[in-house]
Amino acid sequence: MRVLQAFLVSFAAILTAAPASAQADLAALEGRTVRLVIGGSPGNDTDRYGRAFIEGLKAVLPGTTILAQNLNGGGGALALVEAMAATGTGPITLALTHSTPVYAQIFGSDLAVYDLNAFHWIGALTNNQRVLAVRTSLGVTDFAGLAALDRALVAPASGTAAEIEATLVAAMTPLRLHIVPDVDDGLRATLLMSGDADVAIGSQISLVPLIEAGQLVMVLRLGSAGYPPGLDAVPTLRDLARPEISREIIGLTESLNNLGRLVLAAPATDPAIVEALRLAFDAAMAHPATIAAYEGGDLVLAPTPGAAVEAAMRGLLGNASAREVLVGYLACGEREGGAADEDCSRP
Amino acid sequence: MLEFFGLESWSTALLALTAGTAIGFVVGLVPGIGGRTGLILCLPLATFFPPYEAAIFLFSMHAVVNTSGSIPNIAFGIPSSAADMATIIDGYPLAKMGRAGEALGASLSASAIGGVLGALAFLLAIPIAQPLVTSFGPPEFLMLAILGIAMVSSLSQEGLIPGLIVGALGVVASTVGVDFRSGEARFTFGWLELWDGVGLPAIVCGLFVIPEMLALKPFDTDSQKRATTTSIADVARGMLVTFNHLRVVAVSSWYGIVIGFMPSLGSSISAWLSYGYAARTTRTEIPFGQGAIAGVIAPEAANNSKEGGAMIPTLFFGIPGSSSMAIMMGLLAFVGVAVGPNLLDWNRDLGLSFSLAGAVILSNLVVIPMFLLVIPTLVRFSSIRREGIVPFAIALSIMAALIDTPRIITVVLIAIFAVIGIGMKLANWPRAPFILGYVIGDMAEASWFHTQQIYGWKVLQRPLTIGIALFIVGWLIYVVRSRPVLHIPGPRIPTLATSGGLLVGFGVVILTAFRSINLAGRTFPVAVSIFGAALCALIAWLAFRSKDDPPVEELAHVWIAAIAILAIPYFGLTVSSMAMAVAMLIAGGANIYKSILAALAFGALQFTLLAWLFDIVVEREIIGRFAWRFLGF
Repeated sequence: MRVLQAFLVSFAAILTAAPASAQADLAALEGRTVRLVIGGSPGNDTDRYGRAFIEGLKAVLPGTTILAQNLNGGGGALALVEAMAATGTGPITLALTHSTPVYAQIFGSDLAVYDLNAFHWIGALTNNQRVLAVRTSLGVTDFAGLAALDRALVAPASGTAAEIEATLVAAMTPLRLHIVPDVDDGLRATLLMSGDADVAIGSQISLVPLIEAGQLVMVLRLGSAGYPPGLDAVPTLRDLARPEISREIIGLTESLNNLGRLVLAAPATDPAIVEALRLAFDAAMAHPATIAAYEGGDLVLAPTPGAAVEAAMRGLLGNASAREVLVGYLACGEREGGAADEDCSRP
Repeated sequence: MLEFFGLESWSTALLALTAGTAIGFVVGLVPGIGGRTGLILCLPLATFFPPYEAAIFLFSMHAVVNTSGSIPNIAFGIPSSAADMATIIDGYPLAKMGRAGEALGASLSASAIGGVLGALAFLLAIPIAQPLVTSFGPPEFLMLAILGIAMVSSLSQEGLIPGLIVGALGVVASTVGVDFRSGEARFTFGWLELWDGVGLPAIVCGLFVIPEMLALKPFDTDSQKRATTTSIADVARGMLVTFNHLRVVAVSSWYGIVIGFMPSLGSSISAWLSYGYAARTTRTEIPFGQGAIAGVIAPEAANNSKEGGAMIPTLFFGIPGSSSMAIMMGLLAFVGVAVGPNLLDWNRDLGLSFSLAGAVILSNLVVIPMFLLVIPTLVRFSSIRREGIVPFAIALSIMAALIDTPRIITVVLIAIFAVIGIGMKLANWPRAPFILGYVIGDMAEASWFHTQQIYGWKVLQRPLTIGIALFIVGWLIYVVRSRPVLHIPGPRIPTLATSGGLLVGFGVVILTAFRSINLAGRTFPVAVSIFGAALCALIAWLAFRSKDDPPVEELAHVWIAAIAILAIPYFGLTVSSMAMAVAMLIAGGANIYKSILAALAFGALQFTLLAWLFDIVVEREIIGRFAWRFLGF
C-alpha cells in the first residue's frame, strides 16, 4: 500500500512540477554546500527521515554537496538554535525538527529559545499519523465505551508532543485522562501490556507491533489526512470533540498532527535560495531514491510542500487569539484531566 | 530446514555471521564508536545480504562489540562507556602489573559465556515472554535503583563515606539538563548543549582517564617492562581462570539478562550491579579496585548476556530493550525484517528467532580466534614507555568525548571533571560510585515519579517490589555492621581540599536550584545535595582531626595536560594533541625528531577520524582557520 501511496505522491509531484523553471531555479544550489542539522540522535525516527530525505536531495542536486549533522537536545531546540546562528554566507543551513518545538513556542515554554516565525519552511517529510489507542484487556473497543468508563484513564505520554496532544484530547473530548509524562516507548508498551496503563497516544506506526499482537485497538485519529486507508473507519478529533469546542482550533490541532518532521531553512537564507530549496524538496520527495529509502526504512511517505507548511504554521504561530485559546485548553486539560463536567471552551 | 530458518543459503548466512563478527570486533576496538554508532555505520553493508541474513549480520556485529571493547579498556585504560568503566577498575591495574594477557583472556571467556547464556535465555523465554516482560514496572525499577545505590558500598573499598559522597555527586550530575517531568532546564547555566545532560564520555575522560594517565608510573625494572608483553598462553590461562569463578559468571549473566529485558533500563546498570555482586561475595588475593580478576569477569559476562535479554522485548513485542536495540529495530525494518509476535509463531517467523539466537551464540565463539590472533600484537603497545602512552591515551579519550558531543562545552566539562578526578585520586577516594550514581540517578528519579503518578499506595500490593525492598534493608544492615564507617582513606590536605571543594559544589547546586528551578524539578537534586554536603562536612571534620597522614601520590605532566586541554577551543584537538604529545615526549626524555614524527602521525590519524569520518564540524573549522588559510587554500 505504501508503494501505491508513494507512486501517487510521485505522480502528483511530476504533474504539478514545472521542469524547465525548476531546473533553472535549482541551479541556484549548484556548487553550494547544504548542511542539514538533524534534531535527533543517529538512528532515531527524526534521523531516519532526515537520512531518507538526503538520499533524494543528493539525487536531484548532483552538483551540490549535502552534509548531515546530528544535533540532538532540548527536544529539538538545539538544532534550531544552530540553524538560527547560520549566516547568509557559507553553507546553506537547514534544520530538521519535529512537533515539539512548535508546541513549545505556541505554549510559551521557557525552552523555546528560538523564533520559528523567522525561519523559512521548506516542507514536511511525513504525516504524524497520531492516534489514540486503548488496551484490549480493558474490554472497550470504541471511543464511546471509553468515554463511558467512570474513571480517569492512565495515559503514559512518550515525549512532549504526545503529552500536549493527550492533554488537548482530554480538554476537547469527554475523555478523562491521567497523563503521565516522560515515559519512553518501551516502558509505555510494558505498562499497556501489564494493564497498568490504559491508553496511548502516538504515531500509528509506532503502535503497530502492539496492535498486531492484539494488545491495542485504535479508537481516535488526531489528524485529518494522510492515514492508511484501513483507518478510515476510526473517528477523528473533529468527529468526537465536544460541540462547544471551536472548530477553528480543532482545525489547527489537526494541521499540527498532519505535519511531521519539519524542514526549515535558516532565517538568514536568501529568498531565491529558499525558493530553490522548496523546489528541491518537492523534487527530492518524488524521486525514486527517496521513495526507496522510505520503503526500506518503513517510513510513511506523506510529504507536504513548503508553501502549505508555511500557511499552516502562520495559522498556528501568527494567530495570537487562537494560541490563547489553545493555551486555555491545555490548562483546562491539565487541571481536570478533562473531567466530564468541565467545559474547556469557556475562557 | 533452510525454509524454517528463513535463509536463502547456509553459505550466505555463514558469510553474514563471519563478516558481522569481524566488523563488530574492529568497531569495538576503536574507542568512541561503540555498538550504536557501529550499527549505523554497518547498515550499508547489511543491505548486500538478503533480509534474514542481513539480520544475522547486524546481530553478529552487535554481539561482539563489547568483547573486543575490553581490549582498549584493559590494555590501555581507555573507556568509552559507563559499562567499560566497571571493567577498567580491575582490568587496567592488572595490565599495569603485567597481567594484561590474563585479564584479557578472562574477559574473553566471560564475555563468550555471558553471550551464549544470554542467547539461550532468549530462546527459553519464547513460551513465557509476555509475563516476563510485564512483571517489571516503575516500582520495581525504583527498587532496583535503590539497590544499585546501596551497591555504592561495594565499590567503596577505600571508604564508605567518600563512596557515598562521590555517588551523590554522580546522582546530581544525572539531573543536569531538561527535566521533561517538570519542564525545567536544570543546572544548564545558559549552555544549551547541556540540555541533554552531561555526556558520559566527558565524565569518564576527566574523572578517570586523565588522573590515571598522569599517575602512571614509569617502568622501574626491565622485568616489569617485559611483563607487559603477552602470549596466547597467557590469554589461554586467563580464559581458564574464568572457570574458577563460574558462580560470578552465572550470577552476572543473570543480572545482564534480567536488566536487558527491562525496557528503559540503561544497560550499563547490569555491569555495575554484577561488579558490586562480585566485590561483595568473592574473596580474592588482590583487593577489588586493585586488580581482582573477578572484577573483570563479572561486568564482561553481564555486558554480553544483556544482549540476549534485550532481544526478548525487542524482537517479540517491538519494545526496544535498550537504546542499541531501538536502533536495531529501525535497521531491521530497513533490511526488510518485521519484528513482533510473528517471531513467536511456529507457522510464521519462529525460525528467525532461532537463527538470531544461533547467530549470537556462534559470533561469541567465532570472535575467540580473532581475539587470540590480535592480542599479542596489541598488548605489546602497552609496553611502550609511560611517556609514549600518556599523551595519546588522553587525546584518544578526549576524541571519544568529542565524537559523542562535538561542542566546546565537552572540553570545559573534561577540564572540570579532570580537576575533580585528580582531587579524588590524591585523596584516595573511590571514583566508580560516580558512574553508578550517574547511571542510576535518572532512573531513580523517573521511577519515583512514575510510581507516584501511576500506583500511589497500591505499590504496596506488588510482591516483587516488596521482595526487593526487604533485600535492600537486609543488605544495608549487613553493610553498616560489617565495616568501619568513619574512615579517612587518604592524606589530609587532598582530603580537606576535595571535600571542601565538593561542599562548595553541592552548595552551588542547592542555591541554583532554589533560585531558578520549580519545586517539582528541584526536590530530588536538592535532597541528594544536602546529603552529599553533610557527608562532605563530616569527612572534612574527620580529616581535620585525623592524626594519620599518608604520603600524597605524585602526578606527572599535569601542567602540560592542563595547557593542552585549555588550548583545544582555540587550536582544535588535533593541534593541541600534537603539541601535548611533543611536550610530554620531550619532557620524558625522548628524541625530539622522533617525538615530532610520532605526534604528526597521530595528528594525521586523529584529524582524519574527527573531520572526515565523524564530520566534526568544529574541528574542521578550527583547523580550517589556522591551517587551511596558512597554507593559502
